[in-house]
Amino acid sequence: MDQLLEILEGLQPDVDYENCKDLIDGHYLDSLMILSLIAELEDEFDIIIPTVEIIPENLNSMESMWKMIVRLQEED
Amino acid sequence: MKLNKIILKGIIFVAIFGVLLMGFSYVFEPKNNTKEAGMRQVSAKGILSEKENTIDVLVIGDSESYSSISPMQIWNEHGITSYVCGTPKQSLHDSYKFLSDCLKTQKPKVVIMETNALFRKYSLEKYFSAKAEDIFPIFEYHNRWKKLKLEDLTTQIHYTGDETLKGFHLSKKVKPAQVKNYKKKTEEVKNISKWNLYYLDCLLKLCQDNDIEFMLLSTPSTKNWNYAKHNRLEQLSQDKNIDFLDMNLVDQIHIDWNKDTRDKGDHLNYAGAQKVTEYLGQYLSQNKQLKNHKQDSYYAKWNDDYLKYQKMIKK
Amino acid sequence: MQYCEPIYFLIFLPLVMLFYHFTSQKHRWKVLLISSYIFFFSISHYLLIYLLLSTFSIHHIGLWLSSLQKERDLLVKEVERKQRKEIKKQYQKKQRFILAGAVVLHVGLLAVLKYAGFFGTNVNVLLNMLHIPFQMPVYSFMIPIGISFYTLQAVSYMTDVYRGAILADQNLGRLALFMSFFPQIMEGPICRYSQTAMSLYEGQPFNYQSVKFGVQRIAFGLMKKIIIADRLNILIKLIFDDYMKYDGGIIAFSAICYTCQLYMEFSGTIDVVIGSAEIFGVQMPENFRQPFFSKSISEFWTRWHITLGTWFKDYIYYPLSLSHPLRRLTAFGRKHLGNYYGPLLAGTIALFCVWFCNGIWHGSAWSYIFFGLYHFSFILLGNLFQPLIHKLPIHREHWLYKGFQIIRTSIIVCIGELFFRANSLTDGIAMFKKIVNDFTLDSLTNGQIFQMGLDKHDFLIIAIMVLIIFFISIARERGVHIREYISQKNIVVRWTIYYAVIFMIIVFGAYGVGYIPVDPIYAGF
Repeated sequence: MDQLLEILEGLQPDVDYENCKDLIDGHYLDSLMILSLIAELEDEFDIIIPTVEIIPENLNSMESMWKMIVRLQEED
Repeated sequence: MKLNKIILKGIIFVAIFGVLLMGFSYVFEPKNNTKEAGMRQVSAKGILSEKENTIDVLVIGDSESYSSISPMQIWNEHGITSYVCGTPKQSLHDSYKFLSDCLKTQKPKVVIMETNALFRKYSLEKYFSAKAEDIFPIFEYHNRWKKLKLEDLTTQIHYTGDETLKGFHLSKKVKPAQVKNYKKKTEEVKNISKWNLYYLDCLLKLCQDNDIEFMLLSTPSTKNWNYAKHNRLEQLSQDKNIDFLDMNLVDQIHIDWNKDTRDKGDHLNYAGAQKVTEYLGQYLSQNKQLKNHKQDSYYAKWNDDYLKYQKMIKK
Repeated sequence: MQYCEPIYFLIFLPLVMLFYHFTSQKHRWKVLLISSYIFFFSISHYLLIYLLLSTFSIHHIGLWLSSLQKERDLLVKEVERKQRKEIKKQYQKKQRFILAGAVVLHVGLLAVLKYAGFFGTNVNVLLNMLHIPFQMPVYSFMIPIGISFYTLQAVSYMTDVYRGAILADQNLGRLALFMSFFPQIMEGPICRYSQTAMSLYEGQPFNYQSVKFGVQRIAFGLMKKIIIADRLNILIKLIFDDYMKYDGGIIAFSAICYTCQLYMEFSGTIDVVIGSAEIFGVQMPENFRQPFFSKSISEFWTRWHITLGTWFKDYIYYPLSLSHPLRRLTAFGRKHLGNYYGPLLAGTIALFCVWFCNGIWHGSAWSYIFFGLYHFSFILLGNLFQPLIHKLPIHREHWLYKGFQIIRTSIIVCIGELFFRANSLTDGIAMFKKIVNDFTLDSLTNGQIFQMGLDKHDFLIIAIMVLIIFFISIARERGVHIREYISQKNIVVRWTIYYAVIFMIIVFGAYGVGYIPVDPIYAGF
């Protein structure tokens, strides 16, 4: 999870990722940042994130992102 | 919350709303039938301040009626008193309203309906908004908020407007009309909407109840008249057993479409109105039992008004 | 029939409420469906057939996709791990083919109905310019109401089924209601199946609070539209139809007025729409979130016509920018331009497509395409310069800077709306030139501005109403729920507010003789 935090802070340092639960709905991460994020997550964790996973439920908090990453790693 | 409580609250809310509507309507309704008092359609509404029981002929209809008929001219030529309660794009609902309002202070013997209004479209929405405006004048006069005065709160309604032209619209503009196909004959019959037939029946009943003779009149217009309309009106006059005078087919009137219209045949101007009024006056004098009031002192003001009228037509 | 006319909120809506209430819960959705079709028919008559065709087809497509998915899942279980990927790939290809075909059909139909005329005229212009002696026949079709909205909902439904985000709906009636629900059909909001389909179908009993709040929201929307938007119409029509007569100052003023009118009319109508749905216990997504507090154009589009923005994001922006070719571009970009500017390459291409579509979705005219690309340019500029601005020693949280950002954004928006409303792109450009070359405040000092259909009283009312809405917006920005707030006051305060709002509409409303009500600006889409 630390790698995830590092990636997020590299994109947008002004956010409290430990506690924020509405990264998408609260407009803390915009669509350009999401593109970067997806690319970095795919690189870092060696997964492929299909478009159907790019939804607020998966990206609104660091935990939900982590859950998604773990799930995608297992599916392959 | 329990349903009964909700319904009770609802009823009280609506009741207070009704009272407020009445209050606002009272304040916003113009207290006089003059422009200064905020009255709309001052020319037609002038009938409300005519001396009681002086008007013998009432004309209702749209802009065709007030462009073509001059009551002052009829007075001068035949001593017959008439008033034109015509308004732009008048709906039959408004025609009915003018007649019923007029009956509060007048006892006309003849009501003439200019037929162009019969072909006007109407709708359920217009019906509802017309009814709302009748019951609560606030809907018609809400715009007066810009010009409300203390008098609107304190004075009673009292009509003192003075319309010398008696509802006539005087215009000396000239814009010639095209006459092609104007009188082209056809077997077609133009439709009159069910709404208008309904209102016509209401008008006829009102006239019947008040011993008034009702008649239909088509004034000359190249733009608004055609044979299909004429055919329908012939049918209508036979069905309802009412007189129908179609001036478009009366050669005697001799409308000169180069000089007698103010807007390319849509409406007549003063020259055209003179001819129409002359014929109408004769028609009324010969066919309806109407008195010549010229020597009657009760109608003295009409003679004074006529002097003013003479000055106006000279301009 | 339109939402802000008495025939809707005094007759149609109460009648539907009556039937709804007296129908048993199981059948309530049918009341809504029938009312929706009646509503649609009353406006577009037999063009209802287009909506019915769309509904039938997405139902079928959804079930088809769903059956393919079930097949795949069965197969996958029976097979070795290595082969699973291959099977999934195969089925995805099949599904993608079906989805693509369905989307092309739906969007194609929309395109033909709406843009055949525009396309034909422009092709002919091009042929003339190339001196080719051939002219295409130009067709123009009658367009059913709401087609631009329900087509988007149809595409989102099918795509969501394809993505496995929702299950295909077996129930044609439920799907039909989702597509046709009468409050949303004319101006949106554009709803997702997962947001409204179920609650529409469930037939909620009347909840006093929902009905009360719904009615209040409707009244608020009517206030915005009938008092402000309709009132401004005379002035705006006068200037936009005849702009050569007026100086740059007046034209600039009219751009501001139009932006105000557009916001009041659109958000007001949406208030009526969302309030109507609320009465039936259905929560629709918000379409506006105090848009004029935006500090950038990017932010503006997360606050204005929100459901359109999210639709484009979910169904065009992400699919495009995360497609294989564009992902490779992003990887390439990150290598050579760094982590910020790298993704910007793919992002910008996707963004351009979104904004071209956004522009043309609004209407078949060059002025709308220009409008889309205008906003695209500002968003792109913002993206390009953001890292540089962050390096500048500006106190970005200071209220002065925020104020500057807000005003700057609002001006950019107003200019954009000038082009949006102008009768053509050439007119828009001419009007803009006049603002720049011929700007003067004379019309204020010599009183000309008060002789263009609106007098001092009218402007006073507009100013007061805008101020009221401004304060309400501030409260909403801070998270205050106005209707909750009011409901906690005592009955005298509450009823005074209710009567005040109703009588403000009755007295100050711009209806009756001398007024031209605005055509619902978005209903032509």
